[in-house]
Formats: sequence, C-alpha cells, structure tokens
Amino acid sequence: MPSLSRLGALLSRHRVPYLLLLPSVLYLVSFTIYPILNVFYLSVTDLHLVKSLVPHFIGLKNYVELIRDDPDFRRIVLNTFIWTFGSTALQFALGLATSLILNARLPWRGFWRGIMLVPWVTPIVVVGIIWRWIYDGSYGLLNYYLNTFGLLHRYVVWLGEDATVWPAILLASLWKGYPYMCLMLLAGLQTIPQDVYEAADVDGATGFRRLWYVTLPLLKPVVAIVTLVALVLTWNNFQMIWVLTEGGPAYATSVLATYVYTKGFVFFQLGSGAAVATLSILVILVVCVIYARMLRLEEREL
Amino acid sequence: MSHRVLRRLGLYGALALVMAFTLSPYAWLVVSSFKPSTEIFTRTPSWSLQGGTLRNYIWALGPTGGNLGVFFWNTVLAAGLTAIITAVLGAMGGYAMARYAFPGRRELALALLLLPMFQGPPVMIPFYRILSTLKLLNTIPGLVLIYLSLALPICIWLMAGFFRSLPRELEEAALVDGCSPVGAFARILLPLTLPGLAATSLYAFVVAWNDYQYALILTSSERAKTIQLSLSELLTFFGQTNWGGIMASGVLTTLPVVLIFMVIQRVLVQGITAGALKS
Repeated sequence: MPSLSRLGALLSRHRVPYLLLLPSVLYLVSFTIYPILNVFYLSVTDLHLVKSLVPHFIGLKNYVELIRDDPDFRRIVLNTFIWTFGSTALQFALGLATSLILNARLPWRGFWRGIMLVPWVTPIVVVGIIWRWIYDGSYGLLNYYLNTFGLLHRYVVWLGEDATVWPAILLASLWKGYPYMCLMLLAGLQTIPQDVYEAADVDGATGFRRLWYVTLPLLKPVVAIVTLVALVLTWNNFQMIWVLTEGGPAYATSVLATYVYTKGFVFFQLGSGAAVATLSILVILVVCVIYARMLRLEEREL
Repeated sequence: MSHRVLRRLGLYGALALVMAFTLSPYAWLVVSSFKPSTEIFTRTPSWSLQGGTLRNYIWALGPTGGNLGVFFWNTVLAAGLTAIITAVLGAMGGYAMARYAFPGRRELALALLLLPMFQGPPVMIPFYRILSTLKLLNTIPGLVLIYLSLALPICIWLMAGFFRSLPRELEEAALVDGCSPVGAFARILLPLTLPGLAATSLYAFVVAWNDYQYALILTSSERAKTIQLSLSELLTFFGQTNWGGIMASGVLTTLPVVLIFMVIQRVLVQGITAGALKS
C-alpha cells in the first residue's frame, strides 16, 4: 500500500501541528459538521419529540407539507427576507455613519468607541427586556413621549399590531447590531492611509464628495465581507425576534429561524423542523460560496 | 474659519445623537430597576431616582423572587469551563495555525471562518439529539460541550493572530539555546501572548454567558438552567406584575459581561478586527 505509507510519512512529517489541532478538529467535526449533515437526514424522517423518538425515513413528506400545505410558510419566507435585508441595511447605515464619526478627531475618542460597543455585549434577553418595556402599550416610554410631544394621540401596543411590530423589532435589532458593524468598518477606515485624504484635499474633494469618491471605494472590500457576514447571522438570528415577540402575533414576525424552533420544540415535530432548517441552510450555503470566493479574490489581490 | 467651527459642531451633534440612542435604553433599564412599583406602572414615567429602592434587587436574588443565585452559579460554571477549555484548545490550535505550514491548513482556516455561520436554529435539533443520546440533556457538561461550538472557531482564529504578531526569532533563539519546542512554546511564547489568551478565554466566557437559544432547548430545571433562561422565564411569569424586579434581574445579568468587556475591550477589539481584515 504505497499511498498508505505516503500518508503515514505526511502525518509524521507534520505531526506537531496535526497533534496540536487534533482535539479541536475532532470536536469541530462532531459538533459543527456532523450536525449540519444530520439535520439534512432528519429532514426526511418523521422524528417527533413525543410520538416517534426513532426516526423513520418518510421521503420528502415534510417538504411537501411545508411548501404545499402550510398556509403560513410563504409569509414566513417573505418575513425572513424582510428581516434579513431590513436589519442588515439599517445596521450598515448607522454603523457606517457612526464609524465615520468615531474615526474623526474627537476628544475622548477611545471612550466613545468603548461605549458604542455596549449594546453588542448586552445579553439578548436583557435587550428583549429593555425594548419590551420601552414599547409597552400602557406604560412604555415610546408611547409617553410620542403623546407628550403630540405626535400621537393614542397608546399603541407596538409589538402587538401588524403595522408596527416589524419597525419595532428592526429598531431594537439596529440598536443591538450596529456596534459590531461600526467596529469592523472603523477598522477598515483605519487601514486607509492618511496621504490618500491629503491627495483628495489637494484635488479639492471634501466632505460628502470625499466620502463618496475616496473613502467608500477604498472601503469596498471590508463592506462586502461585513455585510455578507451580517446577512447570514441575521438570517439565522432566532434570539432577537424570540425575546421580543416569539414570532407573533400569530406568525406575523416568524422567520425561518424562529419557525425551526416553533416546529421542533413547540409542536415537537423535529423532522419537520429539520426540513425548515435544511431549506434555511441551503440559502446560507449559497452565500458561503460567494463569501469564500471573495476571500480567495482578496488573497490574490494582496 | 466659521465653516470649520460649523463642521465641528455638526460632528459633536452627531456624536451626541448616536450616544443618546446607544445609552438611553440602557439608562432607562438601570433607572427603572431602582423604582418602586408605583413609579413603574405609571402613565407619567420619570427619569428621577427620587424614592429609589433596592427592593427590586432583593427580590431578584431572594428565594421567593427571582432566585437568581442558583442560576448565576450554573452559568458561571458552564461559561467558566467553556472559557478554560477554549483557552487550552485555542492556544494549541492557534499556535499550529500561526507557525506551521501543513496540508489542509488553508481549508481549516476557511472552515474556521465559515462554520460560525451555521449557529443557532440550523443545528438546534441535532444538538438536542446529540445530548439526548449522550444522556447529557439538562447538565452543565452538556451545555459546555455545545458552547464550545460558539467559542472555539473564533478563538483559534484569534489566538493564531496573537501568535503571528510575535516575531519568529523569539522561538528560534530559544531553540538555539537548547530549549525543546514545547519548552519554547510554554516558556517564551505563552507568557508573551498571555494578554491575548486572557482576552480570548474571557470572550469565550462572555459568549457562553450570553447564550439564550441553546439553554432554552437543552436545559429544563434548576440543575442546569442558565441565568439567561431563568431571566426569560421571569419575564413570562412576572411580565405583568413585577417589571421592577425583572429590570433589576436584567441589570444583575448584564453587569458581569459589561465589566469583563471593559477589561478585555482593547486587546479583543484589536484581535477581532485584525482577524477580520486579514481574512
């Protein structure tokens, strides 16, 4: 077996890094790669938390039921796109604006940068508590101020009405998520050499023109990577929505991520939940391929 | 001249707006946590702390109220173990990634970046099944086993960055002086990356401390329930009656992570942004 002995030689030549990485790789294979493959398999079974603890193969039944028979599914898919793109766009806009502010010469700049990150480390359940209280229909701060300033003449249950629930979730998500975006963009801004700006100054490009024609084009690679990562993480973000509305009222704010939980752990239909997860993963995989391509492009450019 | 002054003013105004947006929801949480119930359930809320009370905090910790002590301890254990294991594996893996060229290195680096994309709902059901097969549902070791998946990839990546920032000559000099490779690693490199290692493992602690979704599906009783999960249950049970107590519990839950974060912020931010940009 020549190939086997070649493999042996390879392993022994690189035994130090392989041994150092062995525990981590073993762990990652069993707790990150196996689960992804496992969820594909479970999606074609009848696994149920109460009725069928042993999975039986049932073909594409779960998928057919979701796509053809589930009256809420179409809305949930649509919601997922609204949520993902809405949240990412808002976070990007405020993140970029804030990174420009915090990249300017300011007194106590380091302090402001630190403060800016506080929502990012705040536990998601606490974020839920903070915003549910602000949005409260009887005693909430938002109702109070809007009524005091005469912008509104009634008390709104912000998280309970179809028209207001998405804006309310998106605002809370903006608060929680913009700091991370800002942090990354700030790091990107700092890689732009100062003399580029000086050259722009000489050419008379200032203010908005400088931002549009100098800063943003140079920031493009960072922007692409950061938004792509944010899109995927938002797509998968079950917690933000769950702590605010649990996907309700009814399914008004359910997305694929919350629906996996609802199916699997509220209705106990693990097989069906796995089918939702699989559909969701397929979309992420596409984004990952684009991401990986971009990383490779970057490398070539460097 | 006046144009420049105007621009400065605009900049400060924008900074003030962003900071107000960032801090006021937080400030409201803290202020409310000190208010008696009559001041909370009112149509004319006020920012004043007059008549402030610690009753909500006593309720949050007391056995007849939030009883957070038990869950606090569970979470310290789970997050602490996650941090320690991540530190060991992260240092080993990060060193290999930073200092050795070997077949599969690029693929592994890519995997470490892409795997965190699949957190949460996509793997919830398999995680539940794995722990149920291992008979580790509703246990601290079970939680740790799952929390490592949140922390390990990014921590290997961070540690690789910290090792890479040290000059290679350090180890080479140690090797020339008769140090073994292990000795060079343990005695020369590790002490120098200690700030990075501390920041990395504390970051793992914060990630585990802040988890809600996995505790939600994997734990069910006082034996292993984490502080985030018990906090969300307080919200369900007392959301109509005791907001003050819930706010106080929220402050207590947040305090440790904000304190840790303030300590590690500089090193961590450096590591995270350097890693992200190098990718």
